[in-house]
Amino acid sequence: MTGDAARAVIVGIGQLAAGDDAIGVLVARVLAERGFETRACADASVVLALLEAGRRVVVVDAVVGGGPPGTVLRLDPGDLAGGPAPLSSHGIGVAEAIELAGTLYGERIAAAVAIVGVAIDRPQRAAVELSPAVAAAIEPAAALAAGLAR
Amino acid sequence: MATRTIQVDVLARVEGEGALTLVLDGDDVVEAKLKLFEPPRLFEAMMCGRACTEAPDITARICGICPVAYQMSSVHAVEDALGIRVDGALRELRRLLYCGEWIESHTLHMVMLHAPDFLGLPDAMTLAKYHPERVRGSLRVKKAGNAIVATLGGREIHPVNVKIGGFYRAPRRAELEALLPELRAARDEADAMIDWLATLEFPAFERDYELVSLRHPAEYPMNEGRLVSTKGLDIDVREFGQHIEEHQVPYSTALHARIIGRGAYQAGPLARFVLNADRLTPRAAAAAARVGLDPSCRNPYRMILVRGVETLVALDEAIRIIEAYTPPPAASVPVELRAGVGHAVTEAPRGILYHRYEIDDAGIVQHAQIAPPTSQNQRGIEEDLLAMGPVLAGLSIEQATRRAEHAIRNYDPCISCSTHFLTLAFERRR
Repeated sequence: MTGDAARAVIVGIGQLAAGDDAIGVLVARVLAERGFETRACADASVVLALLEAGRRVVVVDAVVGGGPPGTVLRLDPGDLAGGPAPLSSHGIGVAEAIELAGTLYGERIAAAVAIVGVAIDRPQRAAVELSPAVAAAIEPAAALAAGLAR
Repeated sequence: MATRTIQVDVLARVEGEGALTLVLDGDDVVEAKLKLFEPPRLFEAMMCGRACTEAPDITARICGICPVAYQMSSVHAVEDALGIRVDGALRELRRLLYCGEWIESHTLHMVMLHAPDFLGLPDAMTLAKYHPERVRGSLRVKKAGNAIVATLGGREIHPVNVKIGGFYRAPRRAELEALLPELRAARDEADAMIDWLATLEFPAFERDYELVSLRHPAEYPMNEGRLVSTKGLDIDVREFGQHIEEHQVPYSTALHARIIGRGAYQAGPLARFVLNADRLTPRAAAAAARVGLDPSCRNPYRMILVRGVETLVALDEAIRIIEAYTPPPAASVPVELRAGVGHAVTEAPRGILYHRYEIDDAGIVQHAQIAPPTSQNQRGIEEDLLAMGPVLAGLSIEQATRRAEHAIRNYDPCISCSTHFLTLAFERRR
């Protein structure tokens, strides 16, 4: 991992081997290779730790209800209630992490999160590959996340 | 006959997808079916035809929460087949990696997923409004566990550093020593967390469980030991299939398990604690005594306290291992492929995880069997719910649903692991 504290940390959330749910992790890997500071996790609790440490965070996660699979969305925390829903594997999802951060560390800190969502149909357990439509979203999602991280 | 149906579309705060149907007849729950209906995990089939050396990385992907457990059971089973023994610093590093996963998994479940049930709160976000210090503290403990997995496993999710024979790279002493301040602070947080959890109100409920766990001659069990139970089971893990059988039920995509001739059993923190209380670290033993836990405990609701005690064990052990660490001469021992059958049971955070592989002389897996703890615990969870009839019958539909969900979460079910989310339906016949 490289980068400086002024840059946001890109957090890819997802589960490998669960089909399109892996998109967040795979986007983070692409950006790690390009020198961005990234984390890849199954749940969003790492976002809380980063916010507590004063870092800006760009979350990349699969979302349901965000349009045709592969649609790349720039979401604000306020968009999550009732809008496209990021998927969490176990425990803390993105919306929960941001709400918790607001309660625990203050709303200003919680506002240091930007969200890139990639629309998927639904996770497919035991599917290793992304669907073609979601695989095609890696580059546009990476470009959007990179722009938000700078 | 009056019938009442309770329907909950999603059981929250469990991993994976499933449903529960309870049929109540008066004070009796006459039917309890835990329906795990995610598409079946095909990892056992996926392993067939693959090199045995790929087992740790492939099976780690079964779960984003407990990948280390899958790696540990798979490496030990393959090494059993190949006749490889990993000792010394490499063995200690594997235990350290497991400590990291126990800390992460237990802390997440205790505070963020399960504590809200005891307080009548809907979720962790609401809990944070009432108990912000405890939530902040638990996040710091969890972060310390993450740091172990990321340092030793190469990354936080699906660690990539474990291989047959050891590791791809052994950490330098300084890399591990850098974790010590965070781990020591987490240990103080964990003690405070246990004392807070002990103030919760625990429903009165006990059953005569057969509790099953590993038991090691000297250690609180993680990676090795004999498989023992509270009703006399005491076997080498290679005999797992001779004493425990998996079987299908029509309503679940996860196999059930039973001890042949006896029936359902329970694995997990309570089993480990009851069968290994004399193997706790001194600080963990002191915490157990302080909160009134002893091996006579059969109340599954108190498992949240046991997870706290086990978090202390994992933190103590992590600190001990790092303080004593001298890097091994090589990151792995030599591996020679040969035909064989290998078995391993390790203690995942949720209980015993069994792997068995048949390997040919080219090192190709011909058959794989994986029995995850949630799968093994399914029938026992149903039996808990069957025994809760008198309690559930007196409650409103909403209260009964919450109580049933609370009881299920005692076991921290990881349904994705066991193949398999929860939709809850009550049917009340009268």
